[in-house]
Amino acid sequence: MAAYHVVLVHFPIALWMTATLSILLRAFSDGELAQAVDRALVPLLTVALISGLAAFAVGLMVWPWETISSTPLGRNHVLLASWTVAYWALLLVTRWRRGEAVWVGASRWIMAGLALLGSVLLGITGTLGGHLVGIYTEVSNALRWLGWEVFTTFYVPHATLAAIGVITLLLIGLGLWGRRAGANA
Amino acid sequence: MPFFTHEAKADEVKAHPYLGGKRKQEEVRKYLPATRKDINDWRSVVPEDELAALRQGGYFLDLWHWRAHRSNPIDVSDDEVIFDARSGDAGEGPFTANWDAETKQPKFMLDPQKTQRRALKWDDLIQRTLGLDDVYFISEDTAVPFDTIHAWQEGDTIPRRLLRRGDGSHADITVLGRGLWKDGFWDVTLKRAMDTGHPLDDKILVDKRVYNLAFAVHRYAVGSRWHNISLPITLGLGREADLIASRFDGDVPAWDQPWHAVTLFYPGQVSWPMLNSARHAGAENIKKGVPVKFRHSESQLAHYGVEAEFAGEIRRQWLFTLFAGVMLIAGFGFALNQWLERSPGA
Repeated sequence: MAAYHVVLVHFPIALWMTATLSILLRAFSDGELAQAVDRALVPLLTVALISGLAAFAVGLMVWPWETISSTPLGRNHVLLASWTVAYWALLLVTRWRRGEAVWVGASRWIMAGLALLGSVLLGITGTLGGHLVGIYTEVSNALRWLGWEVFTTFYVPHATLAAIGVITLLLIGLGLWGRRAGANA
Repeated sequence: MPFFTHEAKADEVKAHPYLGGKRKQEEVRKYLPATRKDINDWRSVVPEDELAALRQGGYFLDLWHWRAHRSNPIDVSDDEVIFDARSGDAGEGPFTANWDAETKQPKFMLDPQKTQRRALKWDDLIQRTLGLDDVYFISEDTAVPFDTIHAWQEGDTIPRRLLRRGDGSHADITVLGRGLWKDGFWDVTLKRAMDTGHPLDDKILVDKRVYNLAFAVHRYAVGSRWHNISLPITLGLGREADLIASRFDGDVPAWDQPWHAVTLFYPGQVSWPMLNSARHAGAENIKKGVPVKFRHSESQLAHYGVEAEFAGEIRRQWLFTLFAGVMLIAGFGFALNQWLERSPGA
């Protein structure tokens, strides 16, 4: 399945990179071209997510779970791929559910920042995938320079997990507060 | 393997008819894969006639084991072999235990006529005041039977190992000149005949052949498996290889060849069964004969080795981290969506 995974990952990579450029264009411009591109954003992100999920699923079949979850590079690739897919799903849902409101005021810069962050996640995921098939890039050295050795499993201690849990709950609370505030407005 | 987290129990090894009974093993030491019917089962030793045939065929590793304390003081090296277990070559090795288990006391002490003392001083050892020219070991040349009626004092220290020349195949390797500790490094040259006359214990070195070597070094007074190792390198006797050996005249080479730096790393708890199992993505490559250097660097393996020590714990924490990250993204998405204004056209 490795060859199929390599073929399939080209689609989400290309589509999400295109989506990043589209979001940046729309964030910086209210012109006709930017608006036209924006109208294609939800279909683009949808196709990208579907292809991303397909690549993810096929990727999990390249090696048995015991194998991929036993190697630091494999673990890192699965972790980053999971976050990348989840992250771009978030962008799709946001643009789909909130429509053009995402380009109002400071929201457009939030969208631009999210798109750039999504591209970074995508790039790291692809780099780790390259490592797994023996193709190395300097991105690994950049990550190493930033403090993460890609040959070691990325994980956080229990205290950080607890902090993430608390932050997640706070975000959900914040969301519920926002929903109530919107309903009362 | 000894000192692995899940090492075989000594009683089980001793009860094994061949390893415990005939080979007198108390732990599962390094062994080569073909000496077992199943590489995942140390107990599955192949029949003895098969072992003999493998050995005759040269299926063993030749281990030159120089030790700073147990062999260097008398200018020799241990000579060992790895086959169905790691063991010494035939004959006596360069040291033996200086302990009488029945009387529970040392067998030998220092000869006061030759060394002006019966024992070392504990404080000298702890404070590292002894140098290579001091009396810091006991050998068959400086030993006399232990004096039970001597007025021994607190701090009197007799070395645990009695050093000796050894004999037979076990004593094929000597130190050329003198092994010296200087500026934080040992400078040692080992010497052995190219043909020792012991082809069942030693790799006979022949001109124009290429051999595979690997190095292991214990530093910082650690023992057992806590050593650093190298990836395999090739040695060519007058042939192209990583290391090229060339003939010289006289007793000592000029040492004017280019240096070859060898990178060492800590291998952790990585075993041959593990590397050939579903836990190793490269197991298929091993079966195909792909060299380790093709896919791994020393620095990569150093990290993998340490992680292998805590494989279960790290995998669990990694899964927690993965799900925590997804939940954080979901929470952030929920909050973001609730606070963004709904578009008129949405």
